[in-house]
Amino acid sequence: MIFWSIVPEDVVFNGWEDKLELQEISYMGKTLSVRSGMKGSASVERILSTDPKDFLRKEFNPGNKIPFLS
Amino acid sequence: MICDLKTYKWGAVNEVNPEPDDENGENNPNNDDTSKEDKSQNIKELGQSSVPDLISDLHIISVIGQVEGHLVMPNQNKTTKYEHIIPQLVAVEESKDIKGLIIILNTVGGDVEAGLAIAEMIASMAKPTVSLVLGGGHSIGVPIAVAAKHSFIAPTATMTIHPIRLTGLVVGVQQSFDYLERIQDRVIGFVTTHSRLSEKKFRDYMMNTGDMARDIGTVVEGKDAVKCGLIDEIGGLSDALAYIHKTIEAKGVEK
Repeated sequence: MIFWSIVPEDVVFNGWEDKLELQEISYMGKTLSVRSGMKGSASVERILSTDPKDFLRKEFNPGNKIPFLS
Repeated sequence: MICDLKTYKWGAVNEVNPEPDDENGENNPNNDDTSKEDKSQNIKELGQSSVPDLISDLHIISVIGQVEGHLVMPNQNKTTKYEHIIPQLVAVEESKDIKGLIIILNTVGGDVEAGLAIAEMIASMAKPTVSLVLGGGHSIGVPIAVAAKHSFIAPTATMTIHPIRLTGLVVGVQQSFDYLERIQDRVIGFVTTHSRLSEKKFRDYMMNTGDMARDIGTVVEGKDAVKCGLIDEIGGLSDALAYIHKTIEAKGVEK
């Protein structure tokens, strides 16, 4: 990756080694890739869809919290 | 909220508290609960209780923080994810209800290829597009800002133009250097074809040694960005909106 930013690299890449665990789940009929967080909730990382409309829905925006009861 | 029970049990709000509230024989608290939940979510995320309801034929893409590309950034970074922005641009271009797109920039740079991809997508859109640089549109933010049909910059906003650097392992010095130079040429080529800035001037800005304390390059302020031809106009929100409405109207008349 060619990285071009005014922020120093050690600031940007701090915590680079932390493991990122992504889960694929089905939510509102769509497949999402989510990052599980505290208290059983999850936040959307990306949506796996080929329908452009899905990308304009706020429920599927990256970072949106999904209540999670397993 | 619709749940898909096949894979996981996703909590609708009322499932957490399954006992129905039937004091008055009516047990339809769902709407109230949802709006309460929405409100507290709004306070938590946005610091305000209500977000105004608005029906608009414009869409806004805000390019904030780092432009995230092939690698997921560590948690402390705010990022603009290109894999989400690019399909959004497709949806905006395709939708009959959306008439124009505003791109608001306050970015510190990021992945060159992701940034160029977003910039090329914006530049190739047929719908009216306008960009507004607020705060900062640095590094890879520069091509994204000039990609729109018309660009505005706030008087206090700045744009940093500095050389692209290579991170990570260098296997062959000459090859890596040549490749880096070609990437830089791609960025310069894009910026100079989509703005009035000449290639020589852009390279001068990039290699300037007298402007920044810890780096080579130039910090271009709002007024100077317009003067050198990088950005089209000084302006704010009302100017950007006025421009896009005017363009939409003109387009409607043509048809």
